[in-house]
Amino acid sequence: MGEIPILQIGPLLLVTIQTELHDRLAEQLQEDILQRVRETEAEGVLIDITALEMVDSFISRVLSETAQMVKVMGARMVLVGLQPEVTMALLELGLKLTGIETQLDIDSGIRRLGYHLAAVDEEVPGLPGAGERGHGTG
Amino acid sequence: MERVDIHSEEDIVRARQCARDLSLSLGFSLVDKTRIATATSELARNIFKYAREGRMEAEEIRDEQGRRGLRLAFIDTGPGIPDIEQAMDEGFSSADGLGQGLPGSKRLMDEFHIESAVGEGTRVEVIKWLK
Repeated sequence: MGEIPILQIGPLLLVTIQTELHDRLAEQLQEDILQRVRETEAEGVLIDITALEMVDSFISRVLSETAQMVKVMGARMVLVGLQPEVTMALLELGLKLTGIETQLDIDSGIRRLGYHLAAVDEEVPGLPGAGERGHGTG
Repeated sequence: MERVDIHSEEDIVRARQCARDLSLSLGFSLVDKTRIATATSELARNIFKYAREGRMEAEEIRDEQGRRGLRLAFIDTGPGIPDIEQAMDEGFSSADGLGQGLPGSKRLMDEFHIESAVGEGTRVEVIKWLK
Protein backbone atom coordinates (compact mmCIF):
# COMPACT_ATOMS: atom_id res chain seq x y z
CA MET A 1 0.00 0.00 0.00
CA GLY A 2 1.16 3.52 -0.74
CA GLU A 3 1.21 6.48 1.61
CA ILE A 4 -2.19 7.90 0.70
CA PRO A 5 -4.87 6.49 3.01
CA ILE A 6 -8.08 5.06 1.55
CA LEU A 7 -10.89 5.27 4.13
CA GLN A 8 -13.99 3.13 4.05
CA ILE A 9 -17.29 4.80 4.97
CA GLY A 10 -20.00 2.19 4.60
CA PRO A 11 -20.25 1.30 0.90
CA LEU A 12 -17.99 4.17 -0.13
CA LEU A 13 -14.25 4.75 -0.19
CA LEU A 14 -12.84 8.18 0.56
CA VAL A 15 -9.41 9.20 -0.68
CA THR A 16 -8.15 12.62 0.35
CA ILE A 17 -4.93 13.50 -1.41
CA GLN A 18 -2.96 15.67 1.02
CA THR A 19 0.52 15.15 -0.33
CA GLU A 20 2.43 16.30 -3.40
CA LEU A 21 1.66 13.70 -6.07
CA HIS A 22 4.67 12.44 -7.93
CA ASP A 23 4.17 10.02 -10.80
CA ARG A 24 4.89 6.76 -9.00
CA LEU A 25 2.70 7.76 -6.07
CA ALA A 26 -0.20 8.47 -8.46
CA GLU A 27 0.21 5.06 -10.09
CA GLN A 28 0.46 3.35 -6.70
CA LEU A 29 -2.72 5.09 -5.59
CA GLN A 30 -4.54 3.83 -8.69
CA GLU A 31 -3.51 0.27 -7.87
CA ASP A 32 -4.46 0.65 -4.19
CA ILE A 33 -7.90 2.04 -5.04
CA LEU A 34 -8.72 -0.89 -7.33
CA GLN A 35 -7.49 -3.34 -4.70
CA ARG A 36 -9.63 -1.71 -2.00
CA VAL A 37 -12.70 -1.62 -4.27
CA ARG A 38 -12.27 -5.36 -4.69
CA GLU A 39 -11.69 -6.07 -0.97
CA THR A 40 -14.52 -3.89 0.35
CA GLU A 41 -16.92 -4.38 -2.58
CA ALA A 42 -17.33 -0.62 -2.53
CA GLU A 43 -20.07 0.99 -4.62
CA GLY A 44 -18.37 4.30 -4.97
CA VAL A 45 -15.01 6.03 -4.67
CA LEU A 46 -14.67 9.69 -3.73
CA ILE A 47 -11.37 11.33 -4.53
CA ASP A 48 -10.87 14.67 -2.83
CA ILE A 49 -8.20 16.85 -4.44
CA THR A 50 -8.88 20.06 -2.50
CA ALA A 51 -5.25 20.15 -1.38
CA LEU A 52 -3.70 19.66 -4.84
CA GLU A 53 -2.02 22.85 -6.06
CA MET A 54 -2.29 21.79 -9.69
CA VAL A 55 -3.42 18.97 -11.96
CA ASP A 56 -1.12 18.33 -14.91
CA SER A 57 -1.58 15.99 -17.88
CA PHE A 58 -0.09 13.05 -16.02
CA ILE A 59 -2.32 13.31 -12.94
CA SER A 60 -5.29 13.96 -15.21
CA ARG A 61 -4.55 10.82 -17.22
CA VAL A 62 -4.15 8.68 -14.08
CA LEU A 63 -7.46 10.01 -12.71
CA SER A 64 -9.29 9.35 -16.02
CA GLU A 65 -7.88 5.83 -16.19
CA THR A 66 -8.77 5.16 -12.55
CA ALA A 67 -12.36 6.31 -13.13
CA GLN A 68 -12.57 3.99 -16.12
CA MET A 69 -11.11 1.03 -14.21
CA VAL A 70 -13.37 1.62 -11.20
CA LYS A 71 -16.33 1.64 -13.61
CA VAL A 72 -15.23 -1.62 -15.22
CA MET A 73 -15.12 -3.15 -11.73
CA GLY A 74 -18.76 -2.13 -11.22
CA ALA A 75 -18.30 0.89 -8.96
CA ARG A 76 -18.35 4.64 -9.56
CA MET A 77 -15.72 7.28 -8.99
CA VAL A 78 -16.45 10.92 -8.27
CA LEU A 79 -13.75 13.57 -8.13
CA VAL A 80 -14.34 16.42 -5.69
CA GLY A 81 -12.54 19.54 -4.49
CA LEU A 82 -11.24 20.98 -7.78
CA GLN A 83 -10.17 24.51 -6.89
CA PRO A 84 -11.10 27.37 -9.30
CA GLU A 85 -7.47 28.19 -10.14
CA VAL A 86 -6.62 24.52 -10.67
CA THR A 87 -9.64 24.17 -12.98
CA MET A 88 -8.62 27.25 -15.00
CA ALA A 89 -5.04 26.05 -15.49
CA LEU A 90 -6.24 22.55 -16.33
CA LEU A 91 -8.55 23.76 -19.10
CA GLU A 92 -5.97 26.22 -20.45
CA LEU A 93 -3.52 23.35 -20.65
CA GLY A 94 -6.08 21.64 -22.88
CA LEU A 95 -7.25 18.87 -20.55
CA LYS A 96 -10.90 17.95 -20.16
CA LEU A 97 -10.89 15.22 -17.47
CA THR A 98 -12.62 12.93 -19.95
CA GLY A 99 -14.90 10.36 -18.36
CA ILE A 100 -14.58 11.74 -14.84
CA GLU A 101 -17.63 12.70 -12.80
CA THR A 102 -16.94 15.78 -10.69
CA GLN A 103 -18.72 17.45 -7.80
CA LEU A 104 -17.92 20.54 -5.76
CA ASP A 105 -17.21 18.90 -2.41
CA ILE A 106 -17.33 15.66 -0.44
CA ASP A 107 -20.92 16.23 0.65
CA SER A 108 -22.26 16.67 -2.91
CA GLY A 109 -19.99 13.82 -4.04
CA ILE A 110 -21.59 11.47 -1.51
CA ARG A 111 -25.04 12.52 -2.77
CA ARG A 112 -23.95 11.98 -6.37
CA LEU A 113 -23.11 8.41 -5.36
CA GLY A 114 -26.62 8.00 -4.00
CA TYR A 115 -26.04 8.47 -0.27
CA HIS A 116 -26.33 11.20 2.30
CA LEU A 117 -25.38 11.77 5.91
CA ALA A 118 -28.28 11.30 8.32
CA ALA A 119 -28.73 11.15 12.07
CA VAL A 120 -29.37 7.76 13.63
CA ASP A 121 -32.63 7.42 15.56
CA GLU A 122 -31.63 4.80 18.08
CA GLU A 123 -29.37 5.45 21.07
CA VAL A 124 -25.76 4.62 20.42
CA PRO A 125 -23.90 3.50 23.57
CA GLY A 126 -21.38 6.11 24.66
CA LEU A 127 -22.72 8.80 22.31
CA PRO A 128 -25.32 11.51 22.91
CA GLY A 129 -28.73 10.95 21.30
CA ALA A 130 -29.48 12.04 17.74
CA GLY A 131 -31.37 15.12 18.91
CA GLU A 132 -28.46 16.48 20.92
CA ARG A 133 -25.86 15.57 18.36
CA GLY A 134 -27.56 16.94 15.28
CA HIS A 135 -25.81 14.76 12.73
CA GLY A 136 -24.27 11.37 12.27
CA THR A 137 -23.80 8.67 9.71
CA GLY A 138 -26.55 6.37 8.65
CA MET B 1 19.41 32.03 -10.58
CA GLU B 2 17.96 28.79 -9.25
CA ARG B 3 18.78 25.51 -10.89
CA VAL B 4 17.05 22.15 -10.56
CA ASP B 5 18.61 19.11 -12.19
CA ILE B 6 16.06 16.73 -13.62
CA HIS B 7 16.79 13.04 -13.81
CA SER B 8 14.00 11.38 -11.84
CA GLU B 9 10.26 11.67 -11.26
CA GLU B 10 10.93 13.29 -7.89
CA ASP B 11 12.84 16.05 -9.68
CA ILE B 12 9.63 17.02 -11.49
CA VAL B 13 8.12 17.73 -8.06
CA ARG B 14 11.30 19.59 -7.08
CA ALA B 15 11.13 21.78 -10.20
CA ARG B 16 7.48 22.54 -9.41
CA GLN B 17 8.37 23.48 -5.83
CA CYS B 18 11.19 25.74 -7.00
CA ALA B 19 8.90 27.53 -9.48
CA ARG B 20 6.22 27.82 -6.81
CA ASP B 21 8.61 29.31 -4.23
CA LEU B 22 9.86 31.88 -6.75
CA SER B 23 6.37 32.82 -7.94
CA LEU B 24 5.32 33.19 -4.31
CA SER B 25 8.20 35.54 -3.49
CA LEU B 26 7.55 37.54 -6.67
CA GLY B 27 3.95 38.05 -5.60
CA PHE B 28 2.04 36.33 -8.40
CA SER B 29 -1.72 35.85 -8.03
CA LEU B 30 -3.03 32.44 -7.02
CA VAL B 31 -4.19 31.75 -10.60
CA ASP B 32 -0.83 32.72 -12.11
CA LYS B 33 1.06 30.65 -9.49
CA THR B 34 -1.08 27.67 -10.48
CA ARG B 35 -0.47 28.32 -14.20
CA ILE B 36 3.28 28.49 -13.56
CA ALA B 37 3.27 25.29 -11.46
CA THR B 38 1.24 23.44 -14.12
CA ALA B 39 3.47 24.54 -17.01
CA THR B 40 6.59 23.67 -14.98
CA SER B 41 5.25 20.20 -14.33
CA GLU B 42 4.58 19.61 -18.03
CA LEU B 43 7.93 20.93 -19.25
CA ALA B 44 9.98 19.18 -16.56
CA ARG B 45 8.18 15.93 -17.35
CA ASN B 46 8.98 16.35 -21.06
CA ILE B 47 12.67 16.44 -20.14
CA PHE B 48 12.42 13.31 -18.01
CA LYS B 49 10.27 11.52 -20.57
CA TYR B 50 12.06 12.32 -23.79
CA ALA B 51 15.63 13.23 -22.80
CA ARG B 52 15.89 11.32 -19.48
CA GLU B 53 17.85 14.19 -17.98
CA GLY B 54 18.32 17.91 -18.14
CA ARG B 55 17.73 20.95 -15.97
CA MET B 56 15.45 23.82 -15.17
CA GLU B 57 16.88 27.29 -14.65
CA ALA B 58 14.63 29.82 -12.97
CA GLU B 59 15.19 33.52 -12.40
CA GLU B 60 13.48 36.79 -11.78
CA ILE B 61 13.80 39.19 -14.71
CA ARG B 62 12.83 42.77 -15.60
CA ASP B 63 11.94 44.24 -18.99
CA GLU B 64 12.87 47.75 -20.22
CA GLN B 65 9.82 49.21 -18.49
CA GLY B 66 10.94 47.72 -15.18
CA ARG B 67 8.17 45.14 -15.19
CA ARG B 68 9.11 42.06 -13.20
CA GLY B 69 8.63 38.52 -14.33
CA LEU B 70 9.68 34.92 -13.85
CA ARG B 71 11.70 33.20 -16.55
CA LEU B 72 11.98 29.42 -16.60
CA ALA B 73 14.29 27.59 -19.00
CA PHE B 74 14.05 23.84 -19.54
CA ILE B 75 17.23 22.55 -21.09
CA ASP B 76 18.26 19.08 -22.15
CA THR B 77 20.80 17.42 -24.39
CA GLY B 78 18.39 14.68 -25.44
CA PRO B 79 17.30 13.53 -28.91
CA GLY B 80 15.79 16.90 -29.88
CA ILE B 81 12.50 17.50 -31.68
CA PRO B 82 12.61 16.76 -35.43
CA ASP B 83 9.43 18.73 -36.22
CA ILE B 84 8.72 21.59 -33.80
CA GLU B 85 5.66 22.68 -35.75
CA GLN B 86 4.15 19.24 -35.30
CA ALA B 87 5.12 19.14 -31.62
CA MET B 88 3.32 22.47 -31.11
CA ASP B 89 0.23 21.23 -32.93
CA GLU B 90 -2.75 20.77 -30.65
CA GLY B 91 -3.96 17.71 -32.53
CA PHE B 92 -0.61 15.94 -32.35
CA SER B 93 -0.27 13.52 -29.51
CA SER B 94 2.32 10.81 -28.98
CA ALA B 95 1.30 7.19 -28.48
CA ASP B 96 1.15 7.42 -24.69
CA GLY B 97 -1.32 10.31 -24.75
CA LEU B 98 1.23 12.98 -23.88
CA GLY B 99 1.81 15.85 -26.24
CA GLN B 100 -0.34 18.57 -24.73
CA GLY B 101 2.67 19.78 -22.77
CA LEU B 102 4.18 22.21 -25.29
CA PRO B 103 1.07 23.95 -26.73
CA GLY B 104 -0.58 23.84 -23.30
CA SER B 105 2.40 25.45 -21.55
CA LYS B 106 2.45 28.14 -24.22
CA ARG B 107 -1.15 29.02 -23.36
CA LEU B 108 -0.46 29.01 -19.62
CA MET B 109 2.49 31.41 -19.85
CA ASP B 110 2.93 34.90 -21.40
CA GLU B 111 5.94 34.09 -23.55
CA PHE B 112 7.18 30.85 -25.01
CA HIS B 113 10.35 30.17 -27.01
CA ILE B 114 11.60 26.82 -28.21
CA GLU B 115 14.81 25.80 -29.92
CA SER B 116 15.69 22.25 -30.75
CA ALA B 117 18.26 20.40 -32.82
CA VAL B 118 18.08 16.69 -33.52
CA GLY B 119 20.86 14.88 -31.68
CA GLU B 120 21.78 17.98 -29.68
CA GLY B 121 18.88 18.79 -27.43
CA THR B 122 16.03 21.13 -26.69
CA ARG B 123 15.64 24.44 -24.86
CA VAL B 124 12.21 25.71 -23.93
CA GLU B 125 11.99 29.11 -22.30
CA VAL B 126 8.79 30.49 -20.78
CA ILE B 127 8.06 33.80 -19.07
CA LYS B 128 5.22 34.99 -16.88
CA TRP B 129 5.02 38.74 -16.24
CA LEU B 130 3.65 40.21 -13.02
CA LYS B 131 0.39 42.04 -13.71
